[in-house]
Amino acid sequence: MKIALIGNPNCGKTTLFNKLTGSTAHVGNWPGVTVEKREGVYKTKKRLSDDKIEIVDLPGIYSLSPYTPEEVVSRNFMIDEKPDLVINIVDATNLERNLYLTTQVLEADVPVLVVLNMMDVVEKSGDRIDVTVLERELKVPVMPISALKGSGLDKMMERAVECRAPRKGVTVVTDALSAEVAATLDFYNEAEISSPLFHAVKLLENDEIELERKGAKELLKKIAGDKDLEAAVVDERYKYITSRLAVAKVKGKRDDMTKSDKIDKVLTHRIWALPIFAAILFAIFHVTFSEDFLFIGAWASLGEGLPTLSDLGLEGSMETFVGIFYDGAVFSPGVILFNMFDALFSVITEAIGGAIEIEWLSGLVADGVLGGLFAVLGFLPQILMLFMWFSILEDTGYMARVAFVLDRIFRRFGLSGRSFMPMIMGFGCSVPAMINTRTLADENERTATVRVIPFFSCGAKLPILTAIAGGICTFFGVGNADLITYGMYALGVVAAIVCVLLMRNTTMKGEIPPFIMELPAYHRPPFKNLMLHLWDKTKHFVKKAFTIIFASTVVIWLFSHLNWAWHYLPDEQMNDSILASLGKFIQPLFTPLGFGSQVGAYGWVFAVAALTGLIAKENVIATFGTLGACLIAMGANIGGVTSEILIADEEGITSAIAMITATGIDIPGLIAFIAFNMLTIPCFAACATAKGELKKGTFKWTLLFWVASSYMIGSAVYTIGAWWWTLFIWLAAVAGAVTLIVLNNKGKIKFFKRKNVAVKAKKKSHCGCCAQCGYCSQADDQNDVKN
Amino acid sequence: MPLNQAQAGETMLVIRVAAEPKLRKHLENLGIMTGAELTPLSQKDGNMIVRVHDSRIAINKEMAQNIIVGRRPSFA
Repeated sequence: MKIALIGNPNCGKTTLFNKLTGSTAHVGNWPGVTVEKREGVYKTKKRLSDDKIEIVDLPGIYSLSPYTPEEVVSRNFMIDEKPDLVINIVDATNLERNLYLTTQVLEADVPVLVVLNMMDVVEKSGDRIDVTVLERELKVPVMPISALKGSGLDKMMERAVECRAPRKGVTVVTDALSAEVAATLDFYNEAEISSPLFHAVKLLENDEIELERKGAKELLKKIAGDKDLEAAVVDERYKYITSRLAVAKVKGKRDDMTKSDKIDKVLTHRIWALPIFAAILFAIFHVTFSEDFLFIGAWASLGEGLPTLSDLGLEGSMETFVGIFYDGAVFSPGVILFNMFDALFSVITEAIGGAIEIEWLSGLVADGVLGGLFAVLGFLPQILMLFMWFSILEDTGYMARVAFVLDRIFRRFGLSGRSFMPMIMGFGCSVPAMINTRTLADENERTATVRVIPFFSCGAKLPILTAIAGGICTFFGVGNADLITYGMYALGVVAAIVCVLLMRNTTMKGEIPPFIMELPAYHRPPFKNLMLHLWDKTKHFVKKAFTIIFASTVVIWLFSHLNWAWHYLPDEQMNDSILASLGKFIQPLFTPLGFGSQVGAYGWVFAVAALTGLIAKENVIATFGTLGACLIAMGANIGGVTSEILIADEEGITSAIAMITATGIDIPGLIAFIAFNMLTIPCFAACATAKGELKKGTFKWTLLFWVASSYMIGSAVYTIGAWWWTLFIWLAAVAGAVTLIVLNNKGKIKFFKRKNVAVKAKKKSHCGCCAQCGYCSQADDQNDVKN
Repeated sequence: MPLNQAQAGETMLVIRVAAEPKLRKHLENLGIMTGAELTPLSQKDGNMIVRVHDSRIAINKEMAQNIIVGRRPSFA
């Protein structure tokens, strides 16, 4: 038995799906989290039916006439795949709007069970809903539940398995339109397709998909004449809902302002909204990355300052222990967790490395595998913590507000606020973020967004940022690791803005679709949901660490310790290895970015690290860990890298320092290295997703875009950092490019000839909703006549 | 008057919605159409949050300018 879950966005479909199937699908408090259909099997102790019960979760829709790409999935599934039962989930706190979809679902020839979700919230607010009234009017079973609390679910499923008898579609669109419905119904009956009534009413609604059917357009024209049938159908539906269904809800006494409205007064305030968002972002990054929590160290240094770790005169394990929490300043929770992991890992590495007597094997295990793996695993707490904060913001419903607040700014760059949601998801992982762009209505806006999503530095890139930032501070003794990390995140965001602006003015032109988004009610993030998110992320990360990254480190270690004659080389002769000669071959490519030919004998390690990052971004630091461990093992030979100069035994940072010492790379080169890795072609998984999400033929341009933008920004960072006056050359180049684009768009010169014509042609018809060209008002006049 | 000139907190009646067909349909699905009641809740740089039925819907400035609203007829 196959059951499909259908309902408005953010009405709790996925929560219900998770509860029924024991899945851990991503749930968030904003409309449009689910963009793909998802299948699972109902898990229960009681045996309800002979066959297994499959449950299909579908993307949320406001009506069965789709507006954005992902909504098509839901309609097609319900109509074409013919599930044995459709469970229509209705958000009971917003009954009227949700029942609008129900009236459409009931038109299909499919058994339907209506489920009133969030009944706990309704009862709490003092409202009452009479289920029997709804059942009588809708003529299908209605069950009250709370998916979040898990109440009423067993009864609902018992009822569901009973609802398997075939059902003929019924419509509420009757009275004034019965003649029209009958006419289109004949048309579909003749065509002998299933759910004729559904299609018949949809055609009257001017539905795009129905109009594609042969003969449909002509028929509609004949029936409609100059009447606006679409508006009439909508009118009929809402009339029915208000007069017959909405009466089932009895509203209790309450204030005009709900709690959510009061919170909104502050969080979407016309002046304070943006500063509040900035402050929240800063707080998140501060708690996760800062080595000076709450700036205690900085405040103290105004006076006498706090003693550093070595000043405290602690010894042995006590020093290590205190070093986890404190060194001249108190560390933030994220850094403390990171240090704990690292302390544990270094104990394991030493124990294992010491226990193996054979030199090459000890090297492979301790340096190659453990060095690489632990360099990455050490960052897990910080990755999880950052992810957790964003999950909390998402679950409360705040993110949807931020999209609203940022819409006006986004519009200047050529995007709508809606694209904020996939972008912020990009901080976690590019893959789901790219998939979520399906909620964007404009194709070109979607392409531009997919392309810049990797610039929002994902969890896998976090180790690159922190390890090298830490390396720079510890080794050169300049700057502040937190600031470099924040700065790199900011660089990614700025790069995204510039690239979007560029694309929307050249190759990806298009109208910015209007921003229309339902804002969910605020609620406290469900703890269990949050833990599931984190657990999923951990599982994914650990799995990746012990498969892709593990394999990569072994390969890297082998190739760095074998020469072309397949003879084993000790650490000291790493420069004669296969990996070294390959690395040296591509090294000159990176000279403009500061980590090419100018860095010393071991400079090829950067080129190799950047390349391995194409498989998975964690590999960059894993490669650092593997090769860094070998460099450290060589010790004095390469200029005195010993673990003593390192304060806390931070694996990733240690490796970064080893690389810096061995190569003699300078700060601009290192920053350019981070910038390049952050902005260049993302990992395999993200590339595959981008290829699937983008229009055919655009993927190769997208790859080129990633290479070009990362290479240019990387070299800009390096040259400006190394020779400040080159800033003017870069500025002049940018100014020149901007002038050319502006001139081209004004039609003074012609670069993108074809595109220009296309845009002009589009303007001639109508473009959107400005009501300036007269197109829309014509449509409205018809409307007015009707009313 | 255009929706963005309406007073926050005062429930208005939608007189007409100027939008291309697909967008108009999307607005209808959300309950914003001729004859519907909506209450502006707040504005930020011209972008608005309005209450329609029991939901809160965010609308950008350009869109709000194209939703024409009027006062509800008073029954007093």
